[in-house]
Amino acid sequence: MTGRLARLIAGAALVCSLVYLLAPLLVIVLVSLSPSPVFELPHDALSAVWYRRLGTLEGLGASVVLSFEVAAAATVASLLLGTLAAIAVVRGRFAGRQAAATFLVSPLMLPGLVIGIATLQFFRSLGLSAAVPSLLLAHVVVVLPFVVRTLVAGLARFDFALVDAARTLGLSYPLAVVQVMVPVLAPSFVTGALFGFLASLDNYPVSIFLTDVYHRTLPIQLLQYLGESPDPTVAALSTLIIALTVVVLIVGDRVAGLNRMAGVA
Amino acid sequence: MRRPGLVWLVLPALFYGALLFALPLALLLIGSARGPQGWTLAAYSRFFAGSYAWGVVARTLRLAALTTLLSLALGYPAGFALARLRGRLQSLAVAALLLPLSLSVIVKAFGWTVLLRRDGVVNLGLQAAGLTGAPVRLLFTETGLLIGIVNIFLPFMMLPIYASVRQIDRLLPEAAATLGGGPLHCFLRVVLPLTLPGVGAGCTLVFSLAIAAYVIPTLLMGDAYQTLPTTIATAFLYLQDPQRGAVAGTVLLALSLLVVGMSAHFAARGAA
Amino acid sequence: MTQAGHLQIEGVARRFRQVSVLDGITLAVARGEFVSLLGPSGCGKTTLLRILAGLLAPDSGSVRLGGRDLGALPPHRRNVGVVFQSYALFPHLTVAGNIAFGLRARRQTRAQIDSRVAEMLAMVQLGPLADRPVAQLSGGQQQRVAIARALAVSPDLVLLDEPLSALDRKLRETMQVELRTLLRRLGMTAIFVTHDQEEALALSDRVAVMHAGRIAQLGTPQAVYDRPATPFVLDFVGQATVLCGRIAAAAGGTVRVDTAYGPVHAPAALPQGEAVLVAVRPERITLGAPAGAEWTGVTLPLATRTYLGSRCLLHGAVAATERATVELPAAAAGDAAPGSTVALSWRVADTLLYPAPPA
Repeated sequence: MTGRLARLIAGAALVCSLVYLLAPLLVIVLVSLSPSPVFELPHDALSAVWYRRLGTLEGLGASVVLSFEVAAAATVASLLLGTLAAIAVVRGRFAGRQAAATFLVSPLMLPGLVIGIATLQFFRSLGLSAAVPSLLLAHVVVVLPFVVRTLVAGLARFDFALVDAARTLGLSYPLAVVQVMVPVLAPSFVTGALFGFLASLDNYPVSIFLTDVYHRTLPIQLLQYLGESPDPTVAALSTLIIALTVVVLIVGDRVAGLNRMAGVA
Repeated sequence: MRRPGLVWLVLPALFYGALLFALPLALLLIGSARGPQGWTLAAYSRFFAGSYAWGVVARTLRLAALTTLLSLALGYPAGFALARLRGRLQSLAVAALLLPLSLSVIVKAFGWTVLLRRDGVVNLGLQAAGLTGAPVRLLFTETGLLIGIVNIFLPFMMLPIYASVRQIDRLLPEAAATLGGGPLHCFLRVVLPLTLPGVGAGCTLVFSLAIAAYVIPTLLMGDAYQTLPTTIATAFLYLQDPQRGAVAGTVLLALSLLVVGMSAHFAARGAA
Repeated sequence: MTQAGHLQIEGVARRFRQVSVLDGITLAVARGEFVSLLGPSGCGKTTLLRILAGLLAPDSGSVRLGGRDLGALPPHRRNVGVVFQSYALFPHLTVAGNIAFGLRARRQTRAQIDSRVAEMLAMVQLGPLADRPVAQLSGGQQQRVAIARALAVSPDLVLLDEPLSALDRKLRETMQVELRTLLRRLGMTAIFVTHDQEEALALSDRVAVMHAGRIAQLGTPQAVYDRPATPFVLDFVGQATVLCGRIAAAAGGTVRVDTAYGPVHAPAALPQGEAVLVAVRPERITLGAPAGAEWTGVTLPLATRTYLGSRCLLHGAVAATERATVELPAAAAGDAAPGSTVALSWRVADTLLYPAPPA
């Protein structure tokens, strides 16, 4: 009796949670499709008018380009640094490799704003005031933890006998790594890279201190629009961001599976 | 064969982290305690003079604590139910959890500003359900803020709990039942202790994220509601008072290190 | 052995961080022979296997296979098949993809690969599962894929690293028979690493018992079991009754050893006064006093009696450094009860004698 009641409550909590979690997304999508300019819901007609007006958002194109450039560059750099570091941490046998891993992942656990102001002051003291290089350098710190975390987990699960097996079956060591280790670890690479990329793309607490009037990343630009005069054009833009996130998740699911992406399995 | 030589591979990343993460944080710390005449805590005394800063710290902690509690109250049963789902339904639910988790905070915050308006969906729902006659003010109230902020951090509570429930052998509760325990007894003595690591991880994550929340308080409460993160941002972006920002930043950093450290300590004790 | 073996291992040694793991292993294996490396973990058997596969270089010594010196050859040029303990199946490939892996690496044509894969699949009876991802297979099926993959390239030598240890007992026994039949039919030369003495005895043409980086004994399963060369081999392979004693008299190739449970005769030539261990396999022992000059025995108190259906185990109450185990057909166990004193006897020829280890 108690058991069934508990299950009922838990189930209800799950349904409520999911509805609650998805509500802001749903409302944005609906508002973006509304013909009304005042966020009126519910509405009975669908309209693409706000999507057509995306071009009128000042500075949008430049911020999208900048964000993607920064995110892509930071992800590539993080994959490079992170792969080497993860191999060392998992396969190496030196004192402090656990501490090294914790250190590399720690920016995830610390307040982004503090990292942001620390980076700002550091760059100022060096005389570095150009927005783009500042953003690039700082975003590697944002992306690297995601890459290190997933790659360390993936490598720790990796059976190195697979490489041995490939070698005894006729592949040289480099070929064995390419034909076996790379495809088997691909899910970890892809998830780490995808989440790192998204984190950079969505980052505001670091970027907000490093952008200037001419170089705004997408989140900073979005905050700007919301601060000025939010109209459904911003909802249309947000809907596109939601769509991009959905695409990233679908790719991630195909490659790695949802549970592994959630860090659960 | 593990080789000590592999240590070289970690050095580039460590060097990068040291230079662009640890060093700036250290400089921030130093900067907060340097005056024209050398080392001084003057900036700290200035910051904490009067009740304003104390109020900011208290507000930050209160907001994080409430967020953690509410997330736990909703996230524990929900994470539990999620782990007990099977097959396609579970995949769908996990996807529904991952989507908001991976989505930009700004987009979600924007969604809440629309939802919480006087003529927003939440108010329409409340009126339709007959819970209130006139529209309730939600935006720029603490209730609205909590609705929004719990929404952002709830997935971080649900996932670790979901993971810990998944790991429980389904037979354990049955074994407990054969030993004569009722469902409540079984839950309290078997299931709850086994999910505590997940609860600990979730609470740590949510609390340390919530004390650092910036976008949600800014968008849902406005500038009058000052927490440590908004104070930091204001000091740097509007007041041009970096030292004040550095002090607030140091306090925030210390708080989150304290939370993470305490959690690691308890996790280690729990594992031992 | 006059002619050189198909596989000729000469003085192979290897150290890790100043610790000698392999200490001059010399072993010749004939073409088509199945040799087990049997020993506890840490005895060096896996290290030797990895050296044979080319995954590890020896510090000294040489390995020749079919007349070729494998010395500096990397693993992919050796044509040696390996079945790994974890199977090491490629999770991103199907069953067929795994089996074809070595053939692709050898750049065989599509048609050659397809026909060989089909042949191997039929051989291990996995035809219908060809296109399954390996993760979906049961343990026994994965095991067969691993074997098929190693054999598909027609290796000159196949190395098996505890390949059956992950299977449950029943399946393990079935797979033992299957594996042995298969390798014999193909005339494959095989080195089989295991810590399971029953498995080694059941499968091998010859067993090399390894201990602390050396081969403690090399011989047929029967020789290893019946005439263990050292107390270690005696201990590691099978059960034994082991009693402490001292040589009281030596004459004409036999000695008399005084033990705490009476004098025991053994065929050996050791000087009088020497401290020794007297041993005998449990199933060689019968109840009752020695029945003539070819027999010898002891008298000792019984501690436990274990009924095993067809057989019965008796354990004697002896000193902590000694063991007294008797294995009898259940019908022959009579009414010997714990607490009573029993006479045990066996043929003098079955008595094993070892110098006592330094205390």
